[in-house]
Amino acid sequence: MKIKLAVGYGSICGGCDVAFIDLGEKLIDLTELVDIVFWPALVDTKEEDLRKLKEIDVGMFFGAIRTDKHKATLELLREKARLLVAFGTCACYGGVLGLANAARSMDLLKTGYVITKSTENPKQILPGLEKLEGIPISIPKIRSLVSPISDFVDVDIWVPGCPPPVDSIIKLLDVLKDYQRGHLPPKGLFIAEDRSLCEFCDREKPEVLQIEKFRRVHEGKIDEKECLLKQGILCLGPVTRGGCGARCIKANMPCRGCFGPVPNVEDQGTKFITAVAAALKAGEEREVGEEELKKLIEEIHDPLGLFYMFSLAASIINRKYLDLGGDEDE
Amino acid sequence: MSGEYKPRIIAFLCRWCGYAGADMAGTSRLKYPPSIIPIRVPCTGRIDMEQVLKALKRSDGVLIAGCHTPGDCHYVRGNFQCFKRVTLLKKFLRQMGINPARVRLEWISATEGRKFARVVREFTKELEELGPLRGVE
Repeated sequence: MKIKLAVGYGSICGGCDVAFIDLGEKLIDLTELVDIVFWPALVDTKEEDLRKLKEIDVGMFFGAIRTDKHKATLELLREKARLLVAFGTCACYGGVLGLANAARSMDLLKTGYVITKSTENPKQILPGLEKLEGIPISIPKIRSLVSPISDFVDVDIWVPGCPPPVDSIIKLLDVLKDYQRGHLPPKGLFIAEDRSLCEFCDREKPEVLQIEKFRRVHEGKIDEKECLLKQGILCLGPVTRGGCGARCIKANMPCRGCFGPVPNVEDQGTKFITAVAAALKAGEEREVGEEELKKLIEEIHDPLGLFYMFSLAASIINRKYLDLGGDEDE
Repeated sequence: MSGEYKPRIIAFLCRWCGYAGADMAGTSRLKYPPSIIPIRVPCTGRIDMEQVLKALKRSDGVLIAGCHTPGDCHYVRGNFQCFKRVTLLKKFLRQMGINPARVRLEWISATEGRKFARVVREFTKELEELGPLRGVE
């Protein structure tokens, strides 16, 4: 019996669909293994058809929860599927979209549909909030926060990555093959490593990490063999799950954390703040002094964007606060 | 602010200086508002910023008190570790719309009971003016 598979969409970029195409010949394995009952990019069935089915085997969800419609699709998928897979970083942690939580949804809508100079919207209609005249369908309402799917449903299998690498998808197919033979995967299985990326990185690592000065990737030459952090490049390796094959590191670029926090770490960004600040001028603080240290830390212009690029929606401080006024935009 | 709002401060106090300073304030019978919940830690360098954020979510402000820089830390440079972390954390808090003044780092030695009482008084007053921490719902 083929496995019945349905894929639901949240707020997506399409990268997760494309990740499957990267499988190449292995795609044939997939088609032999599953019967796709719903997948908007691939088959012509509608959500109605999914609703009519009594049960499916595997539901996969791509993307974060941004609108009420995404939440409804997710809940339908959870209701029908025996196994729910959070596929991709957005489904697991909110992903890049999560950065939208640093602003208010209403401000985002206004910026996108009213304020920008290229927009012509004389009635100042904001999508999802007002019914459009003469058009029978309505646009889903934007939620106040971007959320990872685990905020609403139980997740059985997590596949992080932006997008998940081919190796992860092959491992997922193996899990599905086992399922076909009657073996259920352990609850909350992560198709990633349980140790940090540093454990899988080939660069030479110092005994004690000491950072002289922070710098950005375009500032000066980056040594291809030495630890990036040692060179002052902000690399999220220490706080990020391994399993990606160190794709970015091998291309001489720092890790940005798309595999999410290592196990037992709740807040990837803050853990990194704790780690990286400690390494700055480590052992020389007394001589350097508070003023100078402060100046060096000021060199990091955007801790939010750098340390929370993929995980803000799943973090401790996961929303905009109104202490500094509503429209403050820094 | 309404009269009913009483700020709550979670205070991480280092075992050698901040906590001893609070003890000194007590034995000297100095008065300060009952707004703080003290937590004794071995050293300010032991405090993970994750703990600070968790504390901030359950309170109105977080006070961290440790040994004076440059030379007072019992563990040589724990106070500097904390200083660097808090400085960076504050940048993040500002980006999320949280007033960085809600996290306050002070160097209070074991003899500075007066300073401890003054800091708690000041901080409480400051938080009263700021009001409760409100996020997007």
